[in-house]
Amino acid sequence: MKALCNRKGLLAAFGMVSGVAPTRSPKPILQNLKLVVDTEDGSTLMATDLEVGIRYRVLGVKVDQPGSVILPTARMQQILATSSDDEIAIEADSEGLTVRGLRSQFRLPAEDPDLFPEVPDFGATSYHVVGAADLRRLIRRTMFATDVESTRYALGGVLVELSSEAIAMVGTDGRRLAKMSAGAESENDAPVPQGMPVIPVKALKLIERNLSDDDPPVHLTIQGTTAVLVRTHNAVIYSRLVEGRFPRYQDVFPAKADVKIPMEVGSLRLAVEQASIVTSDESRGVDFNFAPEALTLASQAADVGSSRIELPLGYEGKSVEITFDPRYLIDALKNLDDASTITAELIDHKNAAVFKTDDGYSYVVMPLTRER
Amino acid sequence: MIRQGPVGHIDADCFYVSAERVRDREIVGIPVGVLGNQGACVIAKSYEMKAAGVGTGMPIWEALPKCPEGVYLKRDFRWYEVLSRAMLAIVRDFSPRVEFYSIDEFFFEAVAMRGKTLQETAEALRDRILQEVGVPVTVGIARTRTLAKLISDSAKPFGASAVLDRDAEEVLLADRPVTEITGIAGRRARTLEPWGIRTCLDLARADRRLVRDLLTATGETLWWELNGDPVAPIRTERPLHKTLSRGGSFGEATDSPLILYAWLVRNLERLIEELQYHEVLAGRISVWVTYKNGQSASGRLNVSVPTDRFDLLLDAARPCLRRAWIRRGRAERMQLIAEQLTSRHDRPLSLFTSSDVLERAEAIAGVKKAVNNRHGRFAIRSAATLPLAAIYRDEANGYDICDVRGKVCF
Repeated sequence: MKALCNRKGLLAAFGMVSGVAPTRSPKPILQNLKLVVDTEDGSTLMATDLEVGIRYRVLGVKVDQPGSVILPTARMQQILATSSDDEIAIEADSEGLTVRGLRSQFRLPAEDPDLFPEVPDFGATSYHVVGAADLRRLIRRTMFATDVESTRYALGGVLVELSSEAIAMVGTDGRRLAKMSAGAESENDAPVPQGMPVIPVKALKLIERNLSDDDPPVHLTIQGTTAVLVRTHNAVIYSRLVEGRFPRYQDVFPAKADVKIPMEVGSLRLAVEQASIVTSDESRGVDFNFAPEALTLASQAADVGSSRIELPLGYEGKSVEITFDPRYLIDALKNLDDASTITAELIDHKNAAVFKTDDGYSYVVMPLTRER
Repeated sequence: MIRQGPVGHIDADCFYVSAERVRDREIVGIPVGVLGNQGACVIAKSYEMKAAGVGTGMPIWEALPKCPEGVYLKRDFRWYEVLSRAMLAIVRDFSPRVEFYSIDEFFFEAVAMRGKTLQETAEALRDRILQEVGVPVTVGIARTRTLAKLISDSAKPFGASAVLDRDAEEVLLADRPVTEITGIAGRRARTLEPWGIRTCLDLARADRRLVRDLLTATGETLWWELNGDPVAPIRTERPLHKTLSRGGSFGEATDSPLILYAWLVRNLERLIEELQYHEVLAGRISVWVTYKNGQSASGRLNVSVPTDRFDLLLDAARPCLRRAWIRRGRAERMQLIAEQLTSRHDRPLSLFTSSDVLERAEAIAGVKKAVNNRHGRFAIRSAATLPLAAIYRDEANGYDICDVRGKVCF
């Protein structure tokens, strides 16, 4: 294998891919990346930990001799980051790997590329098509609500629901639940996935990092009940699905809410952040009093102090007092546009509260119990 | 705002032994050792037994040849707590602000009795405890708690000393190795050694910034305290727990998964008592197992919502034990730790558990608690603990040092 690579392009590819390679593994070859160069198919940088894998298209590679090479992740990244050359030559033979710049040369040991596990490619002909910006939003607004250390349910990822014209993602840790829906298209009658596919958080982070809002649409397919494949503008990402049962989440949405209060996201977020200043590990709750014309947030913690924050409301209905862990609200609000509107749908201090935006986002939060 | 005056430190002399002597005068003046977990080790000894060469932590089979004439007794923390609280009540008579530091040590704001000096007050306190409780103690009074403890340590046994002027402090500090300061053990002492800091006075006279560099903020606190500036306050209430744990040595190492599981369940039932006492719920559980060959392993998991429910916590603890289990390894200790504690009064509700289920589970837990309150601890317990029948039969295992509540220290 012999190729001349654009240094910045390869460094950017390393930035996207290297996080997948485990820092320690019983299979040491996984700690490296595999670069395949080909005159016809282009060049691809790959990494996998056998649970998640990525194939990333590397641009600016001039191929002298097609082939593949195993690149040591940390050292190669350092070489690329510290070089000032525009191009770097990479050459591999049975003896090892040579990396050359204009005034630098590195000779590194190289492993047999055939021993690197196959990273699945996107071979599906029927799949779902989702806008890149939509998929980013879906991931950002749901992933934070998951619980990677959950014991009872498969909560270490986000549930994906696909139909012929929509995609929804649902993340929950058992105390709050985030659901986001967006439009999707089905290419070649893509089948509706079996079971309840849950994409692990590690894969979601990787997908999100590989997306820009102005990218072309993303292709997504669920393979049986075991894996998901996502094709973005520059990468194919593979991930095994989270094993286990996702809870029946539909039941947590209250059938009917007595009170609906629209608020501006940014103002609400600032008020909640202020109220959370005077909470502690022992006293996390903030009392929210939704009343005509104003929302009052009150918090009190021994040895810390107390606070009272007011947020004017254009609301005229009945009052509802409810206690929330402010962190749960902040987690959701910081992923929304400050200028947008969020509507709180409330019943009373014992029932789940639902916060909705008009772009398909619903966030359900259980209140904290508090003696009143 | 509280401005702190002189600090007193009171430390019972050979407390467990002294406590045994309160109820059995026949063992006064003879070598006595108190045995810990399943009678395997000496956890406290009288001065007579110490003179025979028996040390704290020594296994019984090593202690017996050294002191065959000694009397060896099983620990009885219920009794020790009775005496500890009696001593505490007397100290509270002498001071408006008392810290229940440990079962046999208290710190207090030293206030001179009417018409008496602080030295005479220290003596009066010591004498009254002996007279009313029967336990000999040593009392130290100084400008800070670190100095007070050093003074009481140096006045043992049955001493009383108030040292408040700098010259007298320096004489005392010059005489004591730095390792006598609580918080400076071997590793920290070795860090100080190259800088010529060997005695307490060396540490007090060292440059403050150097001490902070070497021993971090903990060391700097000691530096201020040794120089008479009371930066470590008297804590009249126990600070809220960040974590709660239950566990300890098995007495006999085991490679049986069944016995390990029995210990897990026993520790969980004890941990739940503690969670309920402190009115907190656990958001995360971790299990540590230590093996005879020095290995240790652990597992940690979140529970779905913070809880003190036996079924939910066991659901989380079981896979933790699986992660901490080393096949064929002979386990000798286990620690079960509740983390991410949340006040019971600020409890997050679950999206996926109906209030009916919650009420039913709480009703069952309530029955278990009520029966045990009425008929004795562990009268109802999980059948998984049956392999530990011998542990439950031995009353000494029914109440441990960690069951003595309200102490600031272990």
